Amino acid sequence: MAIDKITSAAITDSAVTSGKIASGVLPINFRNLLINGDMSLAQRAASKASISSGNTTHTCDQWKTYISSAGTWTQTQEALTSGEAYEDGFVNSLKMDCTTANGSLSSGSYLIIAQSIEAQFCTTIKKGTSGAEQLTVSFWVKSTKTGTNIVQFVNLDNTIRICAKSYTINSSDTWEKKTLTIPADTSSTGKIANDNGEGLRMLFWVAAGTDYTSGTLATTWADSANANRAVGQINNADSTSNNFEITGVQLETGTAASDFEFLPPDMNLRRCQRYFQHHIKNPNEAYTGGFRSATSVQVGVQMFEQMRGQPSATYQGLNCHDLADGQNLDASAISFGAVGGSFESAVWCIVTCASGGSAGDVSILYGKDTEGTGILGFYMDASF
Amino acid sequence: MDRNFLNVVKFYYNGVATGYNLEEDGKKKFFPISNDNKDYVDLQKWIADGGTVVDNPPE
Repeated sequence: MAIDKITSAAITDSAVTSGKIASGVLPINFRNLLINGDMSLAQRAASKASISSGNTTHTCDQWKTYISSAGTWTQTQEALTSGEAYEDGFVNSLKMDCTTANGSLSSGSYLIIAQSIEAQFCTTIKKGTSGAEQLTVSFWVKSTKTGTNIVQFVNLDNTIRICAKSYTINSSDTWEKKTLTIPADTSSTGKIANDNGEGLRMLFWVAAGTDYTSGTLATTWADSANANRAVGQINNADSTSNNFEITGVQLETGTAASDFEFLPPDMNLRRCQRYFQHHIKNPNEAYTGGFRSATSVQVGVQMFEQMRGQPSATYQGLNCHDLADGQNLDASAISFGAVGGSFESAVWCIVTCASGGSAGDVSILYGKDTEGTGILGFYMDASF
Repeated sequence: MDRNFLNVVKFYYNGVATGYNLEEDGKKKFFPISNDNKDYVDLQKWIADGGTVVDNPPE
């Protein structure tokens, strides 16, 4: 039988063994289901202006912006130097700055900042089983406009189900720490597959039209109904004075929020590179290959990290150097050839370049600012 | 959201189609043929809606 009147000082260190520590007392590693919750990595860009439509990751890795008819915004990976979030250890945030207001949202308007979690990383939630876990999300938020905002969850596998919680911005332009607990979903229709697809998505609503606010907020898991997703959400898009800023977002199992789990920058980069990689980002970075013909070079590219699935490539600022005769030929297209039938770990890049190479010559594919954009290389994108 | 693709060309490697070269928002891109890839899925919708693809299969 446990005795409850022994003081800590009376227990020798050697008597404290792992078997005496109850499950859940010590925080587990990688407990944050989200990646880059501290907004410390932005491989694509640190700033993006004129965001008014689309579903795209603009700055901070893993954080996607969904927007339609909800004003125009500039998004930045903000460097923090003061404030309560900074004092809590966060040096970056994701900031939305409204540059064109929309004070009269249409019924279908929305502005959402969201992260999708790969399904096979959601197994610890046990969603859709009798042992399903509650979830707790904690985050820092700073917003110009006070009032109610919504955090919403949705599973994309099987029956699409949603759950949402509201929180209140109490003070304008002041960092506030919020903690919300999401109930367990024991309905078998809400199971998440054990695969590389999109399992769970967490959404910060910033603005919502009546299509998403006219019902009753789904505070317990329920089959998806648009009208129940963002009930009570204020319109943060109604003034160009408005900013909306978040950081320190952690989603974990259980009913209590633990301290944010800061990952070393190199580990955070590797986790993000499962979804997005930037190859040849500097002029001195290169891959070696060979000319297949006067206008075609073949280069083997090893991914920095195995990607979630076959990536898309976006490319610019590349040049093919012919080692034999010293020619430098601008690259105009990159395509993939199969290595073992898939592209998650490595690809043959087939580079089309200006004419001048000789079949069989060794080639170096390197970064050169041929378009004058200051951006070199190619992005590999296997995000959701 | 509808995406606006330009100059979409199907790419063949050693006689096997592996993806599409195209332009979007002034950027050159390559989408692999994979249903796990969101861009490929969007491209298939674009094609289904009447988008034109240049397809010169190898002889």
